[in-house]
Amino acid sequence: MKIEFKNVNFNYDNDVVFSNLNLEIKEGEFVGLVGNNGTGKSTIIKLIAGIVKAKSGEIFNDFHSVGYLSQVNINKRNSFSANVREIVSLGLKKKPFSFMTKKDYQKVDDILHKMGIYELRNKRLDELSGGQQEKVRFAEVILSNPDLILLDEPTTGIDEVSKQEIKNILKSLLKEKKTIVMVSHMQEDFPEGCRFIDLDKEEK
Amino acid sequence: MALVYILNPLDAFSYSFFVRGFVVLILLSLILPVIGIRLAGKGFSMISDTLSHTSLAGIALGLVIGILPVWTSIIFSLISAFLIEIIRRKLPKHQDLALTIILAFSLGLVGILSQFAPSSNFESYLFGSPFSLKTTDLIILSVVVVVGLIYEVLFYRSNMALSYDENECKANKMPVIFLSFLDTAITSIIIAVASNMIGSLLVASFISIPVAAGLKISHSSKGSHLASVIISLISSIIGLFIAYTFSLHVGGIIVMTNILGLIICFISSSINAKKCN
Repeated sequence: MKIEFKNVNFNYDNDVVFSNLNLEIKEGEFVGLVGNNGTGKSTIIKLIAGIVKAKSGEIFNDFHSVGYLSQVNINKRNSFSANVREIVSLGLKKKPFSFMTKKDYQKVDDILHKMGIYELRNKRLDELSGGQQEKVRFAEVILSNPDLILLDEPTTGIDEVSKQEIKNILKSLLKEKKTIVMVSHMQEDFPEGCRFIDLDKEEK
Repeated sequence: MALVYILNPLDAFSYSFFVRGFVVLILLSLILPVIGIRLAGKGFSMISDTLSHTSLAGIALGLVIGILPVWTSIIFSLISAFLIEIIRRKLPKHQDLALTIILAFSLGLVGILSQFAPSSNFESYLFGSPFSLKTTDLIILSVVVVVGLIYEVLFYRSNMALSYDENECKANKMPVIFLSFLDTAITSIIIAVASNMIGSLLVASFISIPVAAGLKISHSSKGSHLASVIISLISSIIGLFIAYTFSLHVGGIIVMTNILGLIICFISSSINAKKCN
């Protein structure tokens, strides 16, 4: 399985984000997308996820299942009624006509324990710190056990302790040979052994 | 000064108009707060207010041209809901503006059409009159509520996922646009039918007040759904009996009992929070 971009062009209205972009990501790689603001790091993740469409060029992606962790506006979540356990359970079942079983909830509780957030299970997102929220979102994506994980700035705006915990999660995903594409401003946010694609140096 | 007649509340069930009002309020208490929780989760509660008022424009048109208002209001509500959904997708930064523009347009239309509509009828659609419902209304409403509840159960998890993160659903190859439009269609039909039965004012209050109360006292999706339905049931039944006993305006009283329920929930949750601290 792999992802391949061939001469991909993307623009928002009149702003060209990138043109003739070529890149390849292979199965089992941990790829870090770095570069200045406006170089299209998040856009590449969204293109891979199929959230936005390229204006021209070809995108080849044969990963069957994709886990996507978007940049999130925490304030928006204040009136979202689900608690941590319910949110993480979406990693297992989120399609219409799906129902949770006792076994499913056992799996949810297992991942909550593994991520060290079991104590938070009955809290809503707006009651958690930025770092705790991020761990909940990670748990949901990891529970869905995708072939490919896309992470859009998972460590932005969170405290140092949580940053380190997230980095430990990333390290364990790297060890498990998961295919991951991650965007971040900071090179130190990436675990060792990851391959960087610097968008400032790519053909624009 | 208007005379207030005090009636024996126990006699109420001997009148078929009361029984019909009672059943309608129970049916709507089951479905409207559930829709409200979903809309609040999407940060889109104001849409209920807009749709209930566009339904009103539909009702006014129905009354003027002599078609059963429930049909014209469903059509109006559907058209405006889809317009809002399209604007929300194409111009996400302007969704608040879209709601206000469609609300203003609808109220303008209501103003013009109501001049030509039989006025005695029209007021009941605005402020609600659960005591003046017919058996046909009850049948239409029952069908809509049953279909709505089945939808809510079958699509519970996908709707929760969409409220949580629409982009993640897209990445998971879920038919996001189809699911959103289906949701919009069902929401607008229920709001239109409910506006016909109990008036725009009550619809907007059923969708928002018990939801705020449920979100305050419960810390889970299932709990908030259950709490807001129970609060809605209790406050509307109490409101109905008060309105009957003292011959007061049913719609207005139910809004007040809903608000009272909300205040009680806020106080009890603050006391609980203090105890926990």
